[in-house]
This record gives sequence, C-alpha cells and structure tokens, in this order.
Amino acid sequence: MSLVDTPIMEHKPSDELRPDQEAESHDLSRALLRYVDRLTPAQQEVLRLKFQSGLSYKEIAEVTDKSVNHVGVILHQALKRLKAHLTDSGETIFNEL
Amino acid sequence: MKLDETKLTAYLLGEITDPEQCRAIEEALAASPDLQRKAEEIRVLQNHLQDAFDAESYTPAQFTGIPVNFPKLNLEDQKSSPFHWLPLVSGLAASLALVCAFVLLDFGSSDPRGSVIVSDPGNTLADPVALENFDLSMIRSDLLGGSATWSDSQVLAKSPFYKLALESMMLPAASDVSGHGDTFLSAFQKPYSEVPLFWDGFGMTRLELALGRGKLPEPDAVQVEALVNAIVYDYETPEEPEEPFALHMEQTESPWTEGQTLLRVGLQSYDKPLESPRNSNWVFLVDVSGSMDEPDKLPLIKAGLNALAESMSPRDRVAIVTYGGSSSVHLTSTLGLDRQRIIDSISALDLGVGSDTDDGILEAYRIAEDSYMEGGNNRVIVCTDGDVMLGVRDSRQLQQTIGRFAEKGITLSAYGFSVGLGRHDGIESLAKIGEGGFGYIDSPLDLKNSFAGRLTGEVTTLARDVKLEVEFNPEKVESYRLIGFEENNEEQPLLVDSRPSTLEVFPGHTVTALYELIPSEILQDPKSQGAEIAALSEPVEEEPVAELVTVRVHYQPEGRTQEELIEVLFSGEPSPFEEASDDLRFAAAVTGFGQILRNSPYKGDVDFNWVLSTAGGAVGNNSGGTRTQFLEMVRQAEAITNSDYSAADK
Repeated sequence: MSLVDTPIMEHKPSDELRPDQEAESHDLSRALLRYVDRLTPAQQEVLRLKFQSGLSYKEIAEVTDKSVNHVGVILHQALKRLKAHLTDSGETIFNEL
Repeated sequence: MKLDETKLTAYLLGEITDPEQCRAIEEALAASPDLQRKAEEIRVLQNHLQDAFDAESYTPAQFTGIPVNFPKLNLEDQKSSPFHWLPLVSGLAASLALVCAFVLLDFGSSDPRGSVIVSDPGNTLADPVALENFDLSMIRSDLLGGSATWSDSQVLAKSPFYKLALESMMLPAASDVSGHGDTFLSAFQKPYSEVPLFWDGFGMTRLELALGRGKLPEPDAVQVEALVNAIVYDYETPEEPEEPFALHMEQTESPWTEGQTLLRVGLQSYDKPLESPRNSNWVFLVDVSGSMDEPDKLPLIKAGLNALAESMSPRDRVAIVTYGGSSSVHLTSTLGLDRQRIIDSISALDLGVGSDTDDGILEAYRIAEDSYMEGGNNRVIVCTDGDVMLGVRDSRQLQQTIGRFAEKGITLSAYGFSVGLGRHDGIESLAKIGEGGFGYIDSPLDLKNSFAGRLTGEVTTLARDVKLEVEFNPEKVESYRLIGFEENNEEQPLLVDSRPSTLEVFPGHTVTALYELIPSEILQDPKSQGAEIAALSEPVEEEPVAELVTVRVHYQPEGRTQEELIEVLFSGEPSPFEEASDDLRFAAAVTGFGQILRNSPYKGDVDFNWVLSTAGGAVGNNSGGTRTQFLEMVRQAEAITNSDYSAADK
C-alpha cells in the first residue's frame, strides 16, 4: 500500500473503540499530553498549531515569526522527542510496525 | 535523492506540493524499507497526537496552559469525550457559582488562533481608585536635594518590607512564567506545575504606599504572591551546601471554600556564605548615550561603580567599556589592588555621541576573555537606563554571541538605572540569554545593597538553572490553582523565544507558593475500578500511588555541569485550618487579604475581620517585624473601606 494514498490526518473516531481500547488510548493520550508539556515552549506551540489548530507550515511561520524551514525542523524535533519519550517508557504502539 | 527526516515529516503532513519533489520522495521511500518504517512511525505518532489533543475537554486559551474553566462545569457537557467515566466534579460553594467566566473561541476571525473573550462580573467592593505608579523619584529628589514629599518617604523609612526588599536582592517577576492566572487547572491533563522562583520584591511596598495615601489599590495591581513572600517564615534551613534546598510542604483545609484545601510549598535554600568564594573578573558595559544625561542616570551609575570599587577585593578585576558613544575601552582590566586608578577612571566617565551597542558588547567580551579567571566569577555587566537594545544592528547575531559566551563561562548581567519600577523585558531578556542576573536601581539607597552588594555577593551563587516543579497526583487531586503569579497585564515584546529561565539562586533564597486544591472524589477504592478495566484487557502493573504531590527541585550546583535533583513525595490528610502551623495560617491570611483586594472570584466570604483575627493569632516570631506591619496595613485598608462606605451613604 502506497503511503501516498493513506490519509495522514484522518482522525479515528474515538467512539468506535472498545472499552479496553478506549482505556488504553486514554492512558496513551494522557501520557502523550504529559510529554508534550515537557517539550520546549517553542516546540509545544508549533505542535499545537499544527495538530490542534490545523495550520500549515507557512501559516505557523507567519504566526510565530519564524521561517518555514525552521518550523519544519522544530516540528520534526518535537515529534522525535515525543517518540523517544514513548519508547523509553515502554510504549508498544510502534511494535506492530 | 537523500531524504532527510525533516523533509519526510513535512511530506507526510502534506506540506510538499511540488510534484517533482513528491515523486522523488516516493521513489526514495519505495527503495528503502527503513524509511518506510520511519514514515509509518511518524504516521502512528501523528494519529495518537491528534487523538490526544482532541480528547482534551477544554480548548486551551493559550498554548502553555490548559485551563479548567470551572470545576462546577460538568465534563459531559463538553464535546464528545472518550472519558465519560470521569465523575462530575464536586460542587462548589455558592459564592463561586455567582462568578462565571465564559471563554469563547471565535474561529471565524482572521487570527488563526481564534480570540478569547472573557466576561467578568462586576466587583463588589467600593469603586477601586487607580493606583498611581509607585514613583521613587520622590525618594530620589529627596536624597539628591530636590523637593521632597515626606509621606511616601516616611512610609518607606519605617517599612520593614522595603528594607527587606533592598537587602535581599529580590528580583522582579520572571516574565516567562507559564501563566496559570486565576484559573484552576486539571491535574489529569496538566499534572506538572512550575513554581516561579522570583517575584516583585516591591509588591508589598507598592501596597503600603497606596494605603499610606489613603487609597485602596487597583485590583489588578495587587500581586498576591509578592505579599505572601514579603513575610518571613520560619522554615528550617538545610545543614549542608551539598543538599542546598529544603522543601517544606503543608496542607490544610481551605478557610474560604469548603471542600477545598490549601497546599503550601516552601523552598528554603542553604543560607551560609559558601566556603571558598571566587574572585571576580568584571567588565562593565556602560551606556553613555544621550538619554543617560539625567542626574539620576549616569551619575547614579558612577556612584554604584564607586560603591563597588570600595568593596571589591584586591584580587578582583574590573574593566569599563562604554557604548552609545564611540564605544571605547574606558578602563582596561584592573585589579582591585589598584583602587585609585579605578576610582579616577570612574570619575572621568562622561557622555558620548552616536551609538555602537554591538561593538561595545563584543569589546566587553574580548576584555573578559583576555583577563578570564579560571574557576572565577567572569561577568559582563550592562548598565543602562533601559534602551539597551535600541541601537543594536543585528539582534539575533548578538543573542547567539551572548549565549555562546555564557556557555563558555562568561555570563552577562544587566542593570537598569532609574528605569522606574515597571518591568522592562529588554533588560531581563538580555540577562536571561546571558545567564546572569538583572536588577533595577532607582536611588542611591539601593546602591550599597542592591548593586555593589549584589555584585560582590554573586561570587557565592548557590545554584543555577533552578526549577521548582510540583507534580499532582490526579488520583488525589482533581484540579489545582496556583495562587498569584499571574502574568503581567502589559504585553511587552520579548527579545527571544521563551527559554527556560536560567537565573541564579543565592544562599538564603526562599520562596513560598500556595495552591488551592480541589480533591479528587474518584475511586474511593482504586482497585475496584482497576479490576473492571483489567478484566477486559491485559493486566497492567499498577504502582501503588498514595502521595498527594511530588515536588522536585532541578538545579545545577554552581561550578559543576552535572544537573542535580531533589525529589520529595508529600502525602497525608489536610489539617483542620485552626491546627495548621503559624506560618501557614499567616500565609493564608495574607492570601485572603490579597484576594479581597483583587476582588478575586475565589475570595469566598472572608473579610478584613477574618484576616485580622487569623493573622493576629499566627504572629509567631514576627521575624523582621513583617507580621505586625502587615496587621497595620490590614487595619488601614479596613479604615479606608469603611470611610468610603460612610462617604457613599451621604
């Protein structure tokens, strides 16, 4: 399956989860948000602007007065950091890959 | 094509629109299973992040906090949340029910972040009278021989708070505090709370002056944390400098809202001078531009430098560079031994013309490097009236330079002379990038303690990069409110991205923060709830969780690069208020007073009488005379309020 075809930003409707999956996803969400809080303020801001407010890199760049490239770097570093936190804490979401 | 991961992320987020680039990336992906796996990881992470953000029941009003607007709100009323099993938050006293702040997000506006509209109900106190800005020019003119207004001077002269503020070198509030404001935050969503280490040392004095003039202060101008911290508490101090911080927690029932509690977090640092103070290598960078041509500017700086020349040790070094004129080396690095030469050069300091800030700073660093002291206190100290960054040609470049030198061991501090008591982010930001100190000098009174004393005291920095963090246990705490430490109302543009503050902490530094907590009512028996979930999924190992909070101090001991951590778990039931310690009851009384003056929605139904009787019963040792002085102020406030009411009756 080509990665291009897969919609990246499709949001999984939460009410389709089974209760145990819901609990798991609840724990994960909570952990993720905690880790987000540990990012630098710049990383947090860019992350939220992207995933919460749905802005494009260009829009984020305008709003935060940074270059588009810089935004890309900050975002990537933030994701990398989060992934490292999750892996360090024993999260298994990446294991099925 | 060599595909770097930043580009991959951008592609996966739909940011790459050029078809050529897209094709190239897809080819690279198809050719590399490793890249495919990385891409999949990014995808998975993005989905989960999306879920996590969606699941936040409250939309953040700002990016560094997730305010829980009102504990009274039923969580189920929010947009569909998977956490419907969370119980209703416990109800609150009627007084809270009267006050609702509605936060509306307007997504139609052109600002993509939306705008936040907060509506606030009217206050119930007598009409607040505007507080004129605390103006030390009266003191200045007093001492420099101008016309004097005695009432303010008299207030300050007898104020133990003013004396303490000058002596203890307190700094204005850190400007990048992630503002909790006057809102409760959810312990579940935001379990970490950072306690600011510094506050406005003149907060209490401002209040004194307002009351001394027969007026109540403007509600927004009352800084509750400054009032609480102006009182001297009897915390035990650490014995050894190796464990430089002691944490003192205490919990009691909230005296103004039933069902809630107050948690006091106190930090007390080791307070003896350190064994082997270092020598200093100071390079002063003095602003001699036109704006410094006032009797309380350049002459005040010269007086400060003289005070330093008198108290520096023979092995210390000082140099002076001027800027804002033709930047020049006014005094090359000179040992304290050579006192006369230093004093003569200070006398000869004069105003210049033009501006060359960048070169001045570089010159100062060059000198500091040349006379660098291994293991010593190497600093560049900027002295200005506040306009420091106006003449800078390339501020990003400069900031990088300053940051680099700080890493190499030459810190930069900044002092504002006669700037007035407002915050001035230029000076603070500069000090933060330079990892040094900052301060404001407004009168010759300040010099010996706040300037010379501060500089010579900095050789005994206890720790840097100190961060005091409270982690709430959501199983015990539903939500919490840090009382005070609201962000300053004025929006001032910051020089740099907000970076963690790297201010220094000196021996004896103490800070007291009060939290109001709404205890959690979930899970009387944690095991029964856990058992239900466990039956449906894999059994998960649960750690026994009994603490209320975990408090941590991260710090870097002076002279070492290793970061250290002190961690304390605090648990236990809240004491009935009458049984709490003198320190806590007094702090609560001060807080209650501050909340009344601020007309805070959380003030409950306490009044000045309550403040007086509570504080009166908790005077304890009255260290520094601060507690009796506070009682005096409450009586004044009461008298003013009564006279306002009786005037209104007529």
